[in-house]
Amino acid sequence: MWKTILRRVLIMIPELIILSILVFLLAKAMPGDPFTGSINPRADPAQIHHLMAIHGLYDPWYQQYWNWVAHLFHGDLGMSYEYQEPVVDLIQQRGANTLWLALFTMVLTYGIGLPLGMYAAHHEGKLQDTLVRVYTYVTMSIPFFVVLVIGIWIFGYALNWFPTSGSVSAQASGLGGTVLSRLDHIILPGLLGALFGTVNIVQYLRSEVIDAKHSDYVRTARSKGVPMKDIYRHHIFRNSLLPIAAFAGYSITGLLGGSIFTEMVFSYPGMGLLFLNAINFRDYTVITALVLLYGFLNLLGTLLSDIVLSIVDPRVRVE
Amino acid sequence: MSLIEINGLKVHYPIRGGFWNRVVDNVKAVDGVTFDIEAGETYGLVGESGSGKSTTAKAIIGLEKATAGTVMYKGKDVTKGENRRKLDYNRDVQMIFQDSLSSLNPRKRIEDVIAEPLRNFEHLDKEEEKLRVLQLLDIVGLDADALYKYPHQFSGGQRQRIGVARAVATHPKLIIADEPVSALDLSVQAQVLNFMKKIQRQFGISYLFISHDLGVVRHMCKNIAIMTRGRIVEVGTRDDIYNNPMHIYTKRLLAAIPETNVNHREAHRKHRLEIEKIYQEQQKTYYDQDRMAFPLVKVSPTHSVALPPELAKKFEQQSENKGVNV
Amino acid sequence: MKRDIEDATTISKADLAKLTKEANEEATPSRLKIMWGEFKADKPALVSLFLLVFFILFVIIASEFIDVPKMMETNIMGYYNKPFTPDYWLGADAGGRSIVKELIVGSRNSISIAIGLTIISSTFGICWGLISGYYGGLVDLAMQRVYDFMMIIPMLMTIIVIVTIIPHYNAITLTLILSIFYWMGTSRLIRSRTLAESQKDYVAASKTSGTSNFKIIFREIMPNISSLIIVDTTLSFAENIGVETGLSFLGFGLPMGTPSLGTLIANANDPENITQYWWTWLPAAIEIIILCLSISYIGQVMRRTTNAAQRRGQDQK
Repeated sequence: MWKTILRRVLIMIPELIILSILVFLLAKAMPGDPFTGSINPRADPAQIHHLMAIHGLYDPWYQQYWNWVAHLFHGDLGMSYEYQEPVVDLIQQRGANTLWLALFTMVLTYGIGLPLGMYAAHHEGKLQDTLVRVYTYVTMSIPFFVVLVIGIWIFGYALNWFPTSGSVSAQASGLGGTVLSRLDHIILPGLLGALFGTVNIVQYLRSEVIDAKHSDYVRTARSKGVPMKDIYRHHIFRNSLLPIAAFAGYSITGLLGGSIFTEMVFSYPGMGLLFLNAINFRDYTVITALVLLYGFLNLLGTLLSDIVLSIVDPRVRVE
Repeated sequence: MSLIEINGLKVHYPIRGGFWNRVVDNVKAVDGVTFDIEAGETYGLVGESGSGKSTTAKAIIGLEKATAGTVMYKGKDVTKGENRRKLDYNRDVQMIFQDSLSSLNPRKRIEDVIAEPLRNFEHLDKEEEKLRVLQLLDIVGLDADALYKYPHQFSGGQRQRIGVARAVATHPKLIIADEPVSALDLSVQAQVLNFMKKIQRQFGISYLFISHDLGVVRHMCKNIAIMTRGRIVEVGTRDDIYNNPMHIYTKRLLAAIPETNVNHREAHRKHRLEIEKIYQEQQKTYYDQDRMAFPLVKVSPTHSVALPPELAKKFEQQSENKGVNV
Repeated sequence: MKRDIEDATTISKADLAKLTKEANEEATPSRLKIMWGEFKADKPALVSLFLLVFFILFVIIASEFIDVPKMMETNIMGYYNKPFTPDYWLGADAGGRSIVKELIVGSRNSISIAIGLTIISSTFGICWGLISGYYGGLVDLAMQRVYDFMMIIPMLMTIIVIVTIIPHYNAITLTLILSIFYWMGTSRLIRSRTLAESQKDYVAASKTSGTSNFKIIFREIMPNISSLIIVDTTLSFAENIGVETGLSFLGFGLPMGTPSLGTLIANANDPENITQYWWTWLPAAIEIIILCLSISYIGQVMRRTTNAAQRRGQDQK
């Protein structure tokens, strides 16, 4: 078991190295440098030259890469040229916002997906099942950003039920007030993300439970006289729920990708919005840090899911 | 010279394990198998499932890579891919599979199924090709209306005959038949087997006939090899194997053939239990410490048995006394 | 040696025509034909397919009659013109540009990119999955490593970075860039089916019949997963409509001056637009929703008909 995990972690290392090189080279290839014009249009070219030299921007790329990695290991992601703040601090502020939203979305996704999948499977072939199928078909087909726009239009602007920008309102005071205001800001984006991101869970759970329902071991249990309720509890759910829980790791990729759209539409100051701003200002210490961080989180997510799945399902382990 | 000579053939699968995924052991699916097939004969290879007989067949035809040993055909070792290509080996050696449904591509019409080897080896024009396919269908007793149908529209016996037609298409010298009838109903088995025999008479084809059914093997084969755990334990003519089995494994196999005569049911049962008892007692002496069979020892010009070393010595002395060639 | 086979049968060249006729009478339609038959029986699906094709053809032809540079020019007179007026059927945006015209040209652009992306990424994904699944072993292992790596790359961010790096790009380069990142889903699906298919005896039979690996992959295995391919490609088409439009929505898709459904919806990023000037973005949003729903509805029906075709195929036994 531990060997499997350790080996899986070791495989991560080359992936991480390649990813970091790729990210670094992409950032290097970005046009313009952070000093020309962006600080002061009348800046002295010699001074810019001096700044560039200080920041090692004239070194060969591998040396710059090496410096960058060395700094990474000290937890130093560099300075943001745009915000004049260490990137680590920026990410800490914005990361918390993104994290809350992602966690909230994930909880809602499972909260909606699990009962819905079971409900559909329980009523297999009946009207309820068809309705759930229509729901998954609709939510699966529509691009998420369109959903966000329509959502904020109806519930944010027209009905005025939810705030349309920010992460916490300025008037909020006290701990309770801040928490409530935070919640108020993430309910709509979180709910939209969950409603339209739950397809996989519903479909997987539905087909798993239906397969289990028709399997020989359930038939055996039934013929022994075990009540259907107990069969569901002891056999079907146990077999299908754990793999679904393991999917949480994989879904990180989707949540992070979606966060860019969500934060843009809701002007929610998280990492996604930070990234979009950084791109517009060519703030490439921030860009590299964010792309690398997102890649690393994807990696951790898959690692986590793989490990949980290998514990749940011995067939994965053997492979 | 024999048509094909298999010499010391081994197929091992590595077992990977440990932290670095290194090869820690081997599964010896086939472990040193030697036999020859003569032109025009049917050679039987018998063993229980997992004994390595199918793997042997696949290694001979080139579907499995041989770990060691040679398969000599026309003076070349055909375990090497380049030699197979040079000789157009698969034009001369074809195969019939156990699962007739799985062995025919469900998306191809019968015409395309049978014509596949023709297209690769014979390059006929469209008309000639169609004619040949129709003739082949006729040979295995199917009508022309089969031409544009799909495999699932036929019964198991018909499908297996289509498989035979495909195997015969390039007029091969050897057909490897891997349990060709064991998935069929008993009533259909005989029909397919008789078609195979008829084709053998007409075209002088050799068969390597693989089966676990000793009754079928007796009907089909002149020479028989018994395999277990990747090695051959006994080789001989039909007469040697059925009337004078010497290895405990062969004896046990023969005792397991169901007896149709009800009158002798009790006697047969007693006999079977006796053999089983002997097998359990002598298991240790007939297999080495790794539970592998011993090397073959010749007990008559046609008959070789994997006897334990002590018995083998005795036999060698006996045969020297009698002046039999060893 | 041809002799032998002819000796063993009574069929000769003379019978060929007669027997071919007999065979033709008994011929079974191919699975794709059965599938099409089943699909035709589903009237709503047939209607949506018809409307979809009609719509795509319409926007392609209609946009040929629109002078795009002129259309994109700012026209102060039309500033936020209300919809349902003779000159502006669906109103105008902040630049006084006609929404209808932008919608037509934008649909053409977005749909063409989605089609291009689907063709390139699906072809690549199918080949990748087929090769990886068929060869197995070390080839598969290496290809799986690449796949794993592609999966951890933050796709959207990387695409945005690449788009900002490349100085001049157009619809074609954009499609190619997107294709790099959107083949994995298909490849995974195809690989797992190919792994199962490759184990079947008909593949072994083809090998012993002297058929080359290339032919086995594309002529033997691929037809057996063709229904999966058709369904998957249709569904990815629906998905891919969201890819370019999403990027354009963020401002990193098609270059300025090239309208897309995404840039139209991006009008909604302005709080004033989203509340007061709904016609600048809502039609595009509704169009995308309808497009995606109808394409994936067609895909769903196709999935059902392949299953039905399979059932019917087995019934005929």
